[in-house]
Amino acid sequence: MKITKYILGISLITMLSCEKEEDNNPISTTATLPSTYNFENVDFSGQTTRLDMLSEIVSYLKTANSGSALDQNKLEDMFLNDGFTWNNADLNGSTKKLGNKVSDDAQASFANWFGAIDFASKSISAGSNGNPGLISSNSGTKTYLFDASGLEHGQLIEKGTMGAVFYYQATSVYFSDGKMNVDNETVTEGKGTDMQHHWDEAFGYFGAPIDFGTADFTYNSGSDYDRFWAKYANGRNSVLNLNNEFLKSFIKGREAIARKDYSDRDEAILEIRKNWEIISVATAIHYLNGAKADIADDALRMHQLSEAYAFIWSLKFNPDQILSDVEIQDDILNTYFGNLYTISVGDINSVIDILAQAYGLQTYKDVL
Amino acid sequence: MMPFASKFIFKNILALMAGIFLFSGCKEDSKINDKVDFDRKAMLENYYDNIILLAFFDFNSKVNELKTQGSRFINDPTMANFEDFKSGFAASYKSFQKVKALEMGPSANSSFKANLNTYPTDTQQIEQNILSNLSDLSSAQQINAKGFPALDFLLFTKDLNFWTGTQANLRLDYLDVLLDDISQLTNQNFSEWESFRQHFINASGTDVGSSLGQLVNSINKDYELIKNAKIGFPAGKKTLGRTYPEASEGFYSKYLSIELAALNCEAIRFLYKGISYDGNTDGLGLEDYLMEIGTQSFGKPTYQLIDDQLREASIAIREIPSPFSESIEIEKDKVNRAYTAIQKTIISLKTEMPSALGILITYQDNDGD
Repeated sequence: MKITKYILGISLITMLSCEKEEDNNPISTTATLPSTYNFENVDFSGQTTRLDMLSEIVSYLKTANSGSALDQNKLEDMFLNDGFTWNNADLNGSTKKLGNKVSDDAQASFANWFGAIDFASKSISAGSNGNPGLISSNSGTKTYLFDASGLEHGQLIEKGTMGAVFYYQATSVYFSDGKMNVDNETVTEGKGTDMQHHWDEAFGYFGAPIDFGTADFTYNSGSDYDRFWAKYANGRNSVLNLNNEFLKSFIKGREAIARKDYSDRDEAILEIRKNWEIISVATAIHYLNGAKADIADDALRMHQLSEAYAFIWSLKFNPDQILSDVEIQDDILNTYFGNLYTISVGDINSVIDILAQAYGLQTYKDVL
Repeated sequence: MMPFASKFIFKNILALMAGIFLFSGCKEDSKINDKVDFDRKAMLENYYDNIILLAFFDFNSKVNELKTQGSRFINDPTMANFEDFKSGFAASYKSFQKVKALEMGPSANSSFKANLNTYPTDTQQIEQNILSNLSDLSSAQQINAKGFPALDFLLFTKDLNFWTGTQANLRLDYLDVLLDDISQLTNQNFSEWESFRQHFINASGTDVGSSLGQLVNSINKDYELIKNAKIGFPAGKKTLGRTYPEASEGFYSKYLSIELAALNCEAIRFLYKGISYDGNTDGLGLEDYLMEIGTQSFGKPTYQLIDDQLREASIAIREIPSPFSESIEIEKDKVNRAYTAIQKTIISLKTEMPSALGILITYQDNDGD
C-alpha cells in the first residue's frame, strides 16, 4: 500500500517534471496544442459567478475580524443565493448558487461552520483557550476570530468551499463518466458540445487565466484571478512549478475532446486530479510550516493552522484521493487539530510528515 | 551517526528520486550568478564545517553545563550554587546568540528559536505552572513560559529564600522542567545537525530549498529580530514612542541585553563573511560570493557595503550603556543611533544581496489574508 503511494507520488511528479515545451517529436495523430486555453465556444460564466459569490461571502466573513457580528441566516442566504442582494450587482440576476453544488458529504459541515462563526462573532470577550473571540497578532497588525479551541471558521468556510464545491465539482463531477460520457457531436453556439462545455466548466472552477504559467505570463496580485485555487497554485509555484502544468493539462484535454481522443482526455483528467491534490496538500504543508515559524503568536499560529485544516479537509473531494476520508478526518484532523491553543510543534511536525510521506513531498516539505 | 544516516537515506531515497525527476528535464536559464567562477559547494562546506557545526556544538556544551549547574542548585540550593547557575545561564544565553540566525533545517523543524527564546515571558503563566506542578511544556500555550526568558525571570527576580522556603519544592520542580525542556530540545537539535552535513552541502543551488536560499532567508529573518524585538519594540519604535522596557530580551538580568544583541549582530557579520567559529580564519562566505559577482550598491561594492553596515550596527549597539531597559529612556540618542544603523543594513541585506545572488526572500510570504 505504501509502495503504491510512493509510486503514485513519483509518477505524478515525473508527469509534472518539466515546465518547458517538450513537443519536439509531435506524433502525427496529435494536433499541435495551443499554448493558451484559447478555444472556440468556451463558456464558464456559471463558474465565474460562483467564484464571485464566494468572494463576496469571504468579504462578509472577514468583517468578523473587525468585530462585526455575523448572521448564519445571512450566510445561508448567500450560500443558497436565496433572496440575498449582492453588492456585486452582476450577481443579482443570477440563478446560480454555491449551496446546491456542495458535495453531499460536506453539507452538514457547512451548516455547523455557519453556526459556529455566528456564535463566535457574538462573543463579548477576547478569544482565549475555551472562549471564542478575537485575537490580534503579537505585532498588532492582524486580527482574527477564533472559536473556543482556536479554529478560525472563516477559513474553513472559504477554503472548505474551494474544496467541497470547486475542487469537488471539477475533479469528481465534471470529470466523472456522467459528465464526460456525453454528446460530443452537437455544437451549441458559444458553448461547444456538451462534453466540451463540461470540460470548460471544470477549467472555470480552477479559476486561472487562459495563459496561466506560460512564458509571457506574469502573475498579477490584485487581479481578478488572484483568488482561490489559481492563487494557491501560484503560491506554491516557486517550489512545485505547477501553474503551467495545470494549463497544459486543461489544454490537452480540451484539444483531445475535439479530436475525440478520449484516452488523451482521460490522461489529462488524471494529471489534473493529481496536481490539484498536490496543490491542496502542499498548501496545507506551507501553512503548517508557517504555524511553526509563528508558534509563539497565537493569532498567526491558529490562523495558519485553520488554513491548513481546511486544505487537508478538502483532500476528501477528489475521486483519486491518496489518503482516505478516515485517514484525513480521524488520523489527522481529529487527532492533531483538536485544540490549536495547546497544539505542540511535535504535533505539527507529525501532520507534515504524514502528508509529505503520503504524497511524496519529503524533498519539499521544509521549503513549501 | 551511520545508522541514522543510512536510515535517512533509505527513507528518503524515493523522494529524492522524485526530486531528480522533477529537475531533470528542466534546464534553467543560466543566471548571472551561474556564470561567475564561484564554488558554492566549497562555501557551504566552510559554513557547515567551520561555523555551523561548531556553533551548535558550543551551544550544546553550554546547555549541558547549564543543566549540570541547575541540577546541582535544585538538589542543593545554596548561594554558591545559585551564582554558578546564573553564570551558566549567561554563558549559554550568549552562546545561543551565535546559533539563532541558523533557523533552518533541523532548527526550523523544531521551531528552535521560539521554543528557547520567546520574550517577554509570561510571568503569571510561570507562577501558575509552578502551582499546578506542570511537567510538559510542549504545548504552544507554554511557549512564553519557558526557555531562557523564563530562567531570566526566575533567576534574577527571586532571592535564595524563594528557593528554600515554603513551596520551594514546586518551584525547584519547575526549574527542573524548564532545564529539561531546554536541554532535550538542544541535544536533539545538535544531533540532527551532526547528521545534516550531506544534506546541507548537496543542496548547493540557489532555489528556494537550497542551503544558500535558506541561509540568506534565515539570516535576514534573524537580523530583523534584532531590529524589532531586541531594540525597536522595547524602545517604542513600533508603538508611536510608547516604550516597553519590560519587553526587552534579558530584562530581568538587566546587564545582559546589550551584550546579547551585540553578539547576535556580530555572529551574523561573521556568518556573512564566512569567518570560522573561533574567529581565526576568514573562509568562503556570502561576502566572497558577492565580491565575485561584483555588484555595486549605493556607489560601493555590495559586499563591502554590507560588511561596513553590519560592523557599524554592532558598534552602535555596544555603545548603548547597560542596562538597556533604562537606556531606552535616558540614552535615547544612542538607542536611536543603533536602531538606525541596524535599519540601514536591511536594504542591502534583504534586497541588494538576495537579488545579486538570485535568491528569493520567502519568509514574509504571507498570503495577505
